[in-house]
Amino acid sequence: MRVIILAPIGRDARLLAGTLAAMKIETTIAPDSKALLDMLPEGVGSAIIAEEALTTESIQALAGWLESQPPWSDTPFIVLTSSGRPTRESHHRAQELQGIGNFTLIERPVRPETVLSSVRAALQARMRQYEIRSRQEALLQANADLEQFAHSASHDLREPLRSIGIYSELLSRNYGVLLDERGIEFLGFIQSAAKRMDALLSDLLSYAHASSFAEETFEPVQAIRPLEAALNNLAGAIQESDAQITIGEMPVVRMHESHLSQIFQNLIGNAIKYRNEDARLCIQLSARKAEGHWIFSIADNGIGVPPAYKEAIFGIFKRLHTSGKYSGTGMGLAICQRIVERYRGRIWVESEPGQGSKFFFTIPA
Amino acid sequence: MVEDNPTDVFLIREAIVAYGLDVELEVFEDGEEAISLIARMDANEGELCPNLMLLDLNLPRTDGFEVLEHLRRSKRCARIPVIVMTSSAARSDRDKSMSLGADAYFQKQIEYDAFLKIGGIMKGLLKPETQPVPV
Repeated sequence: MRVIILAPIGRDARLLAGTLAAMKIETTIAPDSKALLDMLPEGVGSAIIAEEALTTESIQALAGWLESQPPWSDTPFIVLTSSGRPTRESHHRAQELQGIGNFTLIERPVRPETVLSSVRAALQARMRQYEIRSRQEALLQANADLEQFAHSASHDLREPLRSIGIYSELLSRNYGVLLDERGIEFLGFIQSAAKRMDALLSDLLSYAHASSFAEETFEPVQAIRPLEAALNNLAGAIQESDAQITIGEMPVVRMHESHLSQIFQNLIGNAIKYRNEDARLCIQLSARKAEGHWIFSIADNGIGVPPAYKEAIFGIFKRLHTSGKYSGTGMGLAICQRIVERYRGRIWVESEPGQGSKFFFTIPA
Repeated sequence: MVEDNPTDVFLIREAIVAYGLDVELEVFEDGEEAISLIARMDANEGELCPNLMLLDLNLPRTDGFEVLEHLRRSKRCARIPVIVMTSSAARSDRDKSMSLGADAYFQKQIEYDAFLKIGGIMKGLLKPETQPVPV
């Protein structure tokens, strides 16, 4: 890590370089502010700038470069203020600098110890920032690897399953006459097991995909659009259950449209699946703003969730009912939780058995 | 058809029969072979381009997207209809296929009748109106 020194007037630059070099700190002297700006993109731990070298143009140029930096970077600068009484102009400049980045002001005449301690602190901070960057990169890589693994495993595992499912179906259809009832039943078991595993693999893939860290920033999305996509996908089930769905005003959020659509589809799908047979299914969707985030809620008048299981239902592969009664792989809520956590939100349920459920999830605004 | 899974090849043959399609099915088991075919057809004026390509995304070595890219850059066969086939429900696979110029995207089904529906898509793309005019 190097310290760039921009102090074009007098011997300051060389004196500073000497002081730092004595402490084994690598320095580069920039002859003018243009040179500094050329050097910054090549890599900088910290920079010491003499105030007189900060013209309006050079501050603008610095501001531009700082704006282009990735989120983890917060380059620490040290500014040596001009000696003599502070002027209105220098006060103004100090304010401006605070607004554009991480600038520490040291008064001249400087003492070597002061500069050294400031530079040390700056370089330590910079080191931490580099650590954050490498951890971020490692995390991105690990997630990409996970998704790649899940993708291959899922495809390679689903192909033989297709063979099992299809051929047992065809055996039953085309050669069923050669079998007794029990034999046909056995073939049916093979088929349904294959279908079940296929659904599990499909959901596993969704689960892995749900936490893929492709980017850090997201485009704003009108929540109503992924909601409508989800309702579209559920059209058949909605019609069959004669569900009455009311939708409150939906906000704009910053997340992948497909992720939000998946959450809606899973939650609404569950409301339909776990409905009360004695009452017409009513589902209410709404969103309200809380501090720094949106809280979405999906309320239904279905069979509800026993309090003891309110957290367990979000577990992967967790189902409260046998596969006979309600279809599904048990991963829907786990996928929702994974997605929501990826956006640093929360998901939870309020419910009493027989009294319906209200699912909430938060997304940062 | 570019596909390495024999069950899927079998199902396509069943679909061809079920929909009464008068076609000959040529199967290539990996992307490299398909790309070589495309190169051969570009080099030889006499060779007929296929009327339709069924393209699996999950191929050994070269993946389906690469084959599709090669096809769309081909001199003589760039516009032949392509149905991309895959086990994946991933939105990104579908979007990428369509943006690379696929005409249809079919998710492979585990039930016989559901899988055979691909025959209908094939029939539609084999109609004279959808066939590219020879260059």
